[in-house]
Amino acid sequence: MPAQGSMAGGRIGIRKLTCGLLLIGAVCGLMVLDTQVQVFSLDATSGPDARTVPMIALALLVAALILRIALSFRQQDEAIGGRQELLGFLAICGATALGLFLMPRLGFVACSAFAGAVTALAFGERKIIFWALLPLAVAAFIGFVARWALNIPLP
Amino acid sequence: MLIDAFQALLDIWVVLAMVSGIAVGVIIGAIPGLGPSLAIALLIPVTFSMQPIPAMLLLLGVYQGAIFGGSISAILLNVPGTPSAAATAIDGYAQSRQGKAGRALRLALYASVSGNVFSCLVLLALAQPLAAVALDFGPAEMAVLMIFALLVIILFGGGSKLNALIMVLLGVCASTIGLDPISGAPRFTFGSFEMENGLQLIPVLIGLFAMSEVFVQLREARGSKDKATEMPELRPDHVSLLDMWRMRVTLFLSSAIGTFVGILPGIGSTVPAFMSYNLARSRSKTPEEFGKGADEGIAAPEAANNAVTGGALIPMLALGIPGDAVTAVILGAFMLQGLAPGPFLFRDYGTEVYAIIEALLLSAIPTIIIGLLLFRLATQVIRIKPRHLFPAITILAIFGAYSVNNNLFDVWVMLGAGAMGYLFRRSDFPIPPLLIGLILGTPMEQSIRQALLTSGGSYGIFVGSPIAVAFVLLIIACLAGALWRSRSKRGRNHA
Repeated sequence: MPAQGSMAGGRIGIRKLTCGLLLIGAVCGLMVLDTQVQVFSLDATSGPDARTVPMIALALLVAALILRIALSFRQQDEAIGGRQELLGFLAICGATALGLFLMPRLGFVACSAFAGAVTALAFGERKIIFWALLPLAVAAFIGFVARWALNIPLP
Repeated sequence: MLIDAFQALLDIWVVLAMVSGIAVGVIIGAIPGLGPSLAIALLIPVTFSMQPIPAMLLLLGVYQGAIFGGSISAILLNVPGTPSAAATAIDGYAQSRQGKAGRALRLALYASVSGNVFSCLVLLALAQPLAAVALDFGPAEMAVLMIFALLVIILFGGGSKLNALIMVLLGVCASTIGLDPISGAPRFTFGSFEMENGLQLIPVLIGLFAMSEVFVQLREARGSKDKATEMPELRPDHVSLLDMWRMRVTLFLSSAIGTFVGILPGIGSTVPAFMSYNLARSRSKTPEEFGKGADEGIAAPEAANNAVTGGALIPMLALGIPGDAVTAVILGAFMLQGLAPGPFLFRDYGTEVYAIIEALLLSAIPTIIIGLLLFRLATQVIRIKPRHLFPAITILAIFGAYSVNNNLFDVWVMLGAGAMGYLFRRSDFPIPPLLIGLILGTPMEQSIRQALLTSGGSYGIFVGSPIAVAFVLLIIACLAGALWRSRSKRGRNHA
């Protein structure tokens, strides 16, 4: 059975958080539109230019998100999650990000095995053979297959 | 053309790819949480060094195998491996509790194969003529067609229309990152050279399906303790041809529902599975048996959800419009192989496409053999604990995203897409509309702007041909239908 999050009534729940993050992103997109999308005079001769579609899509997105947030105040929202769950999520994201940052120096096998090991620990695995050796074996196997069978140059 | 295509199949690597794809699909599909989208997204890197036909057959074999594999855990444990197997669980699990798990699995397998064969025949009959018609499409017609497809996803994809609209718009916004398709000007690249290529489809797919699944399963694993799963005994239990023949009308109707719902973008295979289940129950002389282990209660949803595979491939191959999340992933794989789906695919790569369709049709035989052989193995695979499985998925996701362009930037994109996918899934935002918006965003913008360039800025071009007018009328009809449906629903609620 999935973990049942408590309902968050009118307070900030997961849906409002997601909509809020998307709204911030969409508004930022509209604000930087002029600086991030150059328009050449050629574009303006007939019909929409390089800015038109992003502007329409972002404006519609902002409107839809405001409506969603307004409606969500009348509905129950699921709680964002427990501390442990959030820690697990952040641990996996953080370990993968750290692994990616170090990958050019330490290589694919060590860094992806590290991300895998943290994932196993976040899932509650405590036996060293499963949280350390199994991800290492999987990463080594993938590294071997990539290099020798698929000819993919891994870092 | 058909004979050339058949000759292309007479290659050991093609057979091997198809067989391995089905086997991998059955096993992965049996594991709850690992659906065909995730399996295909993670397997794409394996196909880089392969020829187009075996590469696509490997992935399509996984698709077919995984849809059937989803029914194994549904029947044995009442835990659908894929959402579309939820309808199968109703009678499949009931029959399994009566000590007839082997029979339920065989019924599901044979019904799956019949649904598959039916939909592949429709695919063979419809895809090329549709593509031939689409060859006459200009930018204006393509633009209204894509707007129509996105509208269908929003209005009829199930769930909240507003959420679907938000996801489509987000996908379209995401598709604008990178170089402008007409002027070549960079958009939202923030000075990054890597961003000029835009968000690559495969890393986004891997993030949305594989990495977000790791986060979702982490949440679910925390809410449940490890408990020993009680597996019913698998006794050899035959299902005769006569048993299947008795259900021929149910199988035909369910396959037809699956195929034609599959053609509509964004609906997926869960809706037709339940539609077919309800139809089979309403047509049955013994409707009271449904829910208690009725044979037709297993066969109807299985035939329907497998028939979706062929149906969803029709608009993808002929028009370049993916029918559901899985075909969106497969579309990405086709593009990586240089086979850009759309009207020109049949003209430029006819042999390859027909070989793939014929192989899907012929895959009925290996599917039955592999399905029968893998029942027992699949029951073992179901027992794999998430804490042993998902670390491997994380590593595969990193590898899969990196291998597309041998670029770490794509892995960062995958991680971001994974985190966002997790938030969307928890917030009940559907992923397929986002994906289809991302895929169709660039060609839609390109078509609209090309059409307006050729018309000198006149919007009349979007109603300037009978095809465009037909699509505009369809758009109006869809909007009117959705409005009427929501009004009548509101009226019923007030009554």
